[in-house]
Amino acid sequence: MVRRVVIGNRGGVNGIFVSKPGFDALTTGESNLNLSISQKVSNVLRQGVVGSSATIALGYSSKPQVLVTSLANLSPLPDIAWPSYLNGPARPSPAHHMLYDAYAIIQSGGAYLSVIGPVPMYYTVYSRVI
Amino acid sequence: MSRRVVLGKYLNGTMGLKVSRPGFDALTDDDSDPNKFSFNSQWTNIVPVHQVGIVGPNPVTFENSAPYSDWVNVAHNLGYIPFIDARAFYPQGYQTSAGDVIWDDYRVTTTTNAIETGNKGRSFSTFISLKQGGWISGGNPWYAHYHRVMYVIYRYPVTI
Repeated sequence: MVRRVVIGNRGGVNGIFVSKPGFDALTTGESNLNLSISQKVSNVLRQGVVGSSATIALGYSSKPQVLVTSLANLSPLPDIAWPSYLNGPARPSPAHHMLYDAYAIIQSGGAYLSVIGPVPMYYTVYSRVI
Repeated sequence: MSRRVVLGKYLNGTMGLKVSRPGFDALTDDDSDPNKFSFNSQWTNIVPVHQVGIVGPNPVTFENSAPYSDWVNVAHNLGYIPFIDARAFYPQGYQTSAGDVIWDDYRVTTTTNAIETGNKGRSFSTFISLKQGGWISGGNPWYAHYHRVMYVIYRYPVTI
């Protein structure tokens, strides 16, 4: 049985650390950690799916990094034939189709996120401040 | 009010740290259900985010003459080819005063002029390469269109 959770000092750095199974959370390399509160990388704050354009209240006081991805449910685009069982992230984006855009706007300094597009989309918000 | 955090011994005797979502008991609810738990150190398929960032010109610029140095490299030194993701990014005030804009893949403005916002990425074992520009076709001459790129590098290898 190895240590899986360390709270406190780990190699001179204070934080909360959780290792992958089989790795000692106190001594293993950072690449073997599932959680490292102190490391200077981003975490996923939230993800969500919208069926169409929507505004999501984030409530942040600074602007986070956001990615938006269209889904392959193209039923709102009647001139494209697409099997219904292929719903999921799509590349190229449905926005590639003429006159259809899919994008997100971070508004009011991070208080709101508008996700805009004619098809379902999912968004991912990261803890990095832009 | 339900228990939201368990640190130490679970009911099955294993040790760990887990955090439930609001309304679920961190000690007694099913901790294999991600709809009930936001974190459980027993999960083996957690993919950490290695690095996120923004590259590209600031302010965003248009260029209409060669050479177009529209690829930019970002070092990660993971030693393997990682999964990456990237989107075109325009700071507030460039496309709209409402806020910062992130495009999903391509942007199209008219039926004849397609702007390839160019959020392409290439992943290598020590760095990634991101395309921070595209082309406005249909114009005369064609214009290189530069933007910034938001990227995410996941700590998980692409195996082929």
